[in-house]
Amino acid sequence: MVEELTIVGRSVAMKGSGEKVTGTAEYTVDMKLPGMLYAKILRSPHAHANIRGIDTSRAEALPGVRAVITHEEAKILYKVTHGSAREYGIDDRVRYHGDKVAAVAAVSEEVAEEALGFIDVDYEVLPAVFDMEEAMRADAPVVHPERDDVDGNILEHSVQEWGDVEKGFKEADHVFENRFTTQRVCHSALEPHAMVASWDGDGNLTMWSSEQTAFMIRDSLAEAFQMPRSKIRFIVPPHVGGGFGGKYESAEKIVVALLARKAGRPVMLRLSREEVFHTTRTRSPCIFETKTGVKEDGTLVAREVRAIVDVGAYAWGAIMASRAASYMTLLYRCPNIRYVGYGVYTNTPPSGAMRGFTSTPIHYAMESELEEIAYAIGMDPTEFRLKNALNVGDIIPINSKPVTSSGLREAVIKGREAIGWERRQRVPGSEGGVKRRGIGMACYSHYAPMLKSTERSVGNAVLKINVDGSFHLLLGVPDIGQGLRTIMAQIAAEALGGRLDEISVTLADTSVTPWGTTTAASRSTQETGGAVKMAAGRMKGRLLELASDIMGIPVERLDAKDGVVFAKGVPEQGLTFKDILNHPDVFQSGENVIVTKATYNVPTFIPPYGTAFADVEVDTETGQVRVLKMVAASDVGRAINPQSVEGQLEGGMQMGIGYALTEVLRLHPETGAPLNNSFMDYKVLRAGDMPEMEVIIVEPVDPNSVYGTKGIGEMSVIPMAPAVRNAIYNATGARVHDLPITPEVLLKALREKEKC
Amino acid sequence: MVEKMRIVLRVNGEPREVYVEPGWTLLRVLREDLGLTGAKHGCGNGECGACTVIMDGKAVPSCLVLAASAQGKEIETIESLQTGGEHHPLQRAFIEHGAVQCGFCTPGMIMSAKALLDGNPDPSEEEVREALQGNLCRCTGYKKIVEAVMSVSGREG
Repeated sequence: MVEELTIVGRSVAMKGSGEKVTGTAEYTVDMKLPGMLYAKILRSPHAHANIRGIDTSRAEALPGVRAVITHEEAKILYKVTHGSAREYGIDDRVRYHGDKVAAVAAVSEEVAEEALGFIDVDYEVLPAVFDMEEAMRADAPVVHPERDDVDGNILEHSVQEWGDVEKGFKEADHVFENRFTTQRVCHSALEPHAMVASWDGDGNLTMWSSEQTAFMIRDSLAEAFQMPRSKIRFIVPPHVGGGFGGKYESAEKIVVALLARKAGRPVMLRLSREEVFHTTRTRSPCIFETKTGVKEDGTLVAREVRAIVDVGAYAWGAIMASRAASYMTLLYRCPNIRYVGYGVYTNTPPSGAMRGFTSTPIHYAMESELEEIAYAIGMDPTEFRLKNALNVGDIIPINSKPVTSSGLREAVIKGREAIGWERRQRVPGSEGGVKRRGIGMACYSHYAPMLKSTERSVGNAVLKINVDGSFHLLLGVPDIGQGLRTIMAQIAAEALGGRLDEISVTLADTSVTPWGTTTAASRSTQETGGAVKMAAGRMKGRLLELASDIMGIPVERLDAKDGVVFAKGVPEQGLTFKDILNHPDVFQSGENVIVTKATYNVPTFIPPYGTAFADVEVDTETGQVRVLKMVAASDVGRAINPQSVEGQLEGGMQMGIGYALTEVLRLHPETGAPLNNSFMDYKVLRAGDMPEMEVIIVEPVDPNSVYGTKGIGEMSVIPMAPAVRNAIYNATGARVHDLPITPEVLLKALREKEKC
Repeated sequence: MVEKMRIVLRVNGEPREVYVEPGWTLLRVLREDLGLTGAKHGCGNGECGACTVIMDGKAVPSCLVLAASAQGKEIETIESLQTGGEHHPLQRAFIEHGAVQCGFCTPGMIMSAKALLDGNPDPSEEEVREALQGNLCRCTGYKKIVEAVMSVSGREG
């Protein structure tokens, strides 16, 4: 039987948007506690150095300074989320230009800033390495010599294989080889990172911070400070100004907590925009050497990728070096696959998760190569992909489970109609002229929420009813601006037969809400949504039981909707939730206090499938690219809140086109100093830079997921860069390999094409 | 200690007396001294627009305006838009069109849009995009924001 849904699947205004449009929404930076001090961090002017000595006495003597700390107090290991990522609060060795050296808390930011200039540091400058391939050489400077579990700078080395690629390449009629590179980029969430720490007289720590997880940080802090978890309260304020993967790994939390303890006052740290660009996590630059073998008819027979991932000085991004292999197996059938990945330390800014983590860069390489192969063997690139696409029932090699739903075919068909696919050049670059038009596309898949059977993906929810029949939903994960709070309330209202506007949602407070993972990896709708649906179902069950006793009607004949319990078929004669809770039998016995909870174990990951199409105009004299239209056609499972899904997919286009054309964090090649850590020099696309955009939502309802949903937060960014790149290829025939495709990169590719 | 000077700002129609240091920006005074935290500090260099307020009818990044130089000017912030508990049409349009995600750019966006519509009640889409060119958004791709502003201008669809 098909479920009849009335709240799930409806576009509703995001909860909290009333606060945001009036300027009353409180973000971490808007907090003010009595006596609160402000922190500033002294950052290293060297890319690699030992700190031989540090004298803070002059800074401490400055009026208004309340605490100064260095590695002597703050060399405390901070481990969040991933075992191989290690960073100290402050170490006695700096590993990139901008690394933490000392920190000051003072009565104002101005005084704290001034005090940094009075800290005397004796650096022993060490040779540094900025290039990932150089870092792999035996004679390269070692970024983490203290780690005996790391081979030189190679933190990760992963080899994953299915079938026999040597045999596969022998069977191929055509073999193609390429080398692609991608760049370091910054999430550029509009809200800079901010946090506040406060200790009470009993030694309890409370922290507020703009983050994507509360509990994992609390757990890390508990381990770092050797404190029971009950003595640390970590709160993500109700409003977070964007995350995109960039808000949960910084070790500054150790520093701010220590400053607050030492000063005996609350301390706020807000990073400057320059610090956000240069010292928070970045998307890793990568090198991909690709090799693909196909039969004459377009059947993929062998695929090989050798990936090098620059994980910077501190390396949460290292898991990408192994996980990128997944994407060779999720989208297309191919019997022979080999992936070799390296995660390499360099003396550059730290790496971390970013939207489409582990997925976006390798998709650029793979989908760029496939587009060229299609034209080379005389196939329509869309048909070439559909011919090889995994279908429902096919086994996904990475986890040996079948595909249970796929909207790829529908997405491709609708997407190519929307872009006007027949207008593409049949032979790329065959039309002349200075300005040339072209159309390109790319497909993607992604794992959401978790991939391997050894990993757990667990959501928790607690639901409480008030005596007037309204509800409080308590969840451990934050809303980072994408609308999680609204989606969860929709699921709860649907599953319990309640009213959406009578459900208030409290998130990510470790002393109040149940444990939660992270708002990341496009996982929350599945993971936490699953728990919400179960908890709401239990609440509804309990309310029906109470109503059954009052009404004298068996439970199985009752249902609830809009906060009213009624006999099926007789919706007009019902009892409101409020009536039930205030009925004398229920009220007197205390049965009106109802709290339900649920834990949801995500049974299997459910990949979304989708595509992007780009229509571009290239000026072959200046190398300028103008994206005229972009179409994202995505399989999102069931859209819980379609307007919100559209908003995320449109936002992904902005980020994805920027990744393709304009965004890159540049470092000085000799010193590692930042060259463009401002919005003036780091080009994030603005309103007038955007093309016409069209979002097409494809909804194959998956039988294994909560209301048939799939995670989509990261999806639309993934195929954008290869779609734009392939449109440029279609327009000009120029084979671009490096991101971003600046005029310089494009003109070079055009010259190379002329030589051929 | 730097000596502070007394200035009087006209903010949202009311005179407000504040004591400022010469280097303080209007954004700092609005946020720290007047408790008007709707304007956000996104970059401090006038490049992101999150701090946009209207000064003498023009949208300006308040992080680039020295507080002392704003003396005698008429300043409107996001906090002035809601009247009698009712949202301004732009605020309503932002909510209804799904133009708000994380919301950090929203107050600045709305003030830039308001300055545009105050001077040009019937702008083209191109003029709307031009007016919002100084306001960065990382969540929406701008589409729903532009649609929201157009809907208030009466040129929707």
